[in-house]
Amino acid sequence: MGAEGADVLVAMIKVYRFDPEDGRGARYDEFEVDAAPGRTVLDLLHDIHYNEDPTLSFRRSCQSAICGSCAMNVNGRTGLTCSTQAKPLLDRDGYLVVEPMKNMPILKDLVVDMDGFWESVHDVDPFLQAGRKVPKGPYIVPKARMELLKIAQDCIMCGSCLSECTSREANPDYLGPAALAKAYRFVADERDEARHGRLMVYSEANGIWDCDTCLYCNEVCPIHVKPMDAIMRMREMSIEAGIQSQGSKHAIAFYDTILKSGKLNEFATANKSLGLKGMVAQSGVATKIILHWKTPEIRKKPIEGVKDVTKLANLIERKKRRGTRR
Amino acid sequence: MKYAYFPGCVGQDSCKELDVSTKLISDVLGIELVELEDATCCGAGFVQDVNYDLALALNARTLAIAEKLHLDILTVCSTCQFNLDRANRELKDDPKKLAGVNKMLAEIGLRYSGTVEIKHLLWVLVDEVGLAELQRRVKVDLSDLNVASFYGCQLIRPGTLHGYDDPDRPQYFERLIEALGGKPVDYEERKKCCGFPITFVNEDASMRMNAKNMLAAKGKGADVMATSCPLCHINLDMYQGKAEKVSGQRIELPILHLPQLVGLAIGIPPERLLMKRHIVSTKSVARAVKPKEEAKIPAMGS
Repeated sequence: MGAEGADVLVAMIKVYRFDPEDGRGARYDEFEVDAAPGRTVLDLLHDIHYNEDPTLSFRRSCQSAICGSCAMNVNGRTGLTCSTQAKPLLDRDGYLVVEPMKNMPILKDLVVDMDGFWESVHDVDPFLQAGRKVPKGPYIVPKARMELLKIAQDCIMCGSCLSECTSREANPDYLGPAALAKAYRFVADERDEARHGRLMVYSEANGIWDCDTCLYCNEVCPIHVKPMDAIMRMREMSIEAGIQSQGSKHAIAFYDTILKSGKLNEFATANKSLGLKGMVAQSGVATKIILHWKTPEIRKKPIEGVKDVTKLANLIERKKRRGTRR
Repeated sequence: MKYAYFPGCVGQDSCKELDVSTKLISDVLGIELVELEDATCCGAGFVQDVNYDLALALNARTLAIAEKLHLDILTVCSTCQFNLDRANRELKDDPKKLAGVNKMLAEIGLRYSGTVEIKHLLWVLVDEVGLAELQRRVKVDLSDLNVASFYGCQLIRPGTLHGYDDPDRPQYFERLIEALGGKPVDYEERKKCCGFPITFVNEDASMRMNAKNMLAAKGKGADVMATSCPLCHINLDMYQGKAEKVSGQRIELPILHLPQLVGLAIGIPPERLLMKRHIVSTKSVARAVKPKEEAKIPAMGS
């Protein structure tokens, strides 16, 4: 137990246990802990480790939400245990459960194998490619350009976003939010000369177009990095750079119908995005759609203000050509 | 209760039943809808992928039209809700950006000053129509139905944008199902991604997500699933057969749109809610709806 006296709040905590060497399989152990206001989940794990069961394994280091070591799943949400207080969760749910991160193999108790995480990060080539632009003196980047990196550069590589990534869960080959946020950090850095090549690689299968925009990464990031926003920006950059992929084809098909009528034309989008071969592969679904009178309109009547759409598109085009970016 | 109604593109096309049932229940529940017929698509993330600034300008145009009517916007789609709300927040939080967008809107005779709020039907039903009123309106007995909710990612995340549900513990749907007399199914996957946004990019991965969510709901006893997003409905209903193939398991889970569930409960016949348009048969749902015994009607205001 931790602090003693009137401030102690006795509570039970369930902790995931697994030791590949003891042959007992996975289980949950329960411990009595002090979850007084202000105490973090990591404080409770320390209490258990030092006072009750020294075999309980977990990673931690700085205890200041900066090293990124102590990410775990607490009451169903991944985050840093050193910055997650126990009492508010106890108040909300009436229980405390600590589990290892998801989407990564479990090594022991709360420790996961992060090799897959690091492999993905390495796959995006996370080093500045300065090319021939290296100046003799310091390279001064205008503040506005550095601002673009804001949504990605603070990442502490804790793995919380990957743990909650729904696309990675369904497809272990998907690069995932942390790696792609890192990728964006270089794509958006004007000192990097490999931008086009990077965007080509990131546009391939298992890259930027495999994000399902579920927003979990933005939601759980303990330091408010926005991996999904970074991925979205790279999509736009790759389209601006004329890089083709199944994802960009679909987005452009969708976009074109909006320009034409102001509204989505589901039929034209599917047709253009999938092509003849793709449409044949969807014939089973298409037959069911027809049989249930769910066929989308082939010709979409434009909204009355469709001219506004054209006008706004032209204004933005002009603005972009003048080189002002958001 | 009067709203500028944003029906969304899919809600008036392949999921027409969503628009029809929204109008039917609004009529009964006293929600006056002024349809934004001239609004554009919200962009659904795809227009944003191609041209973020245009998506922002188009959504600002929609907001300006609603502002002119002095009305808040009602959406029936988690994706529309997110995209309109995000644009709205961006403009409200950044006066410079708002001024820039207004310069463009001026060219089409519009102006947005930032007074509009955007609300999803689910929130309006629970917070404004109210659970007691809904309970009073219930005409049938749904006590035999275990109803699994499916929120759609963008209705609950990011929590800081919407400010209604706790993204880790969403409850609006569950409270609504209870008020309608059904039994809410408690399962984690109700917060997950349906997979629709990547169906055209990586269909296998999308179908794995799709199957996992539905099988989890069925594993917890769900007889029917109700969703607040027509894009989720496309994956859950239209693509359920493909999800079965990928998972190698029978699913056979009827999927309702939120207003169809409400419509059934308040006594609107399934035919009028266009439940025949669904790919997965909804007959089992219609069969489970029993006439309500007088004795079971709770006292008003209880």
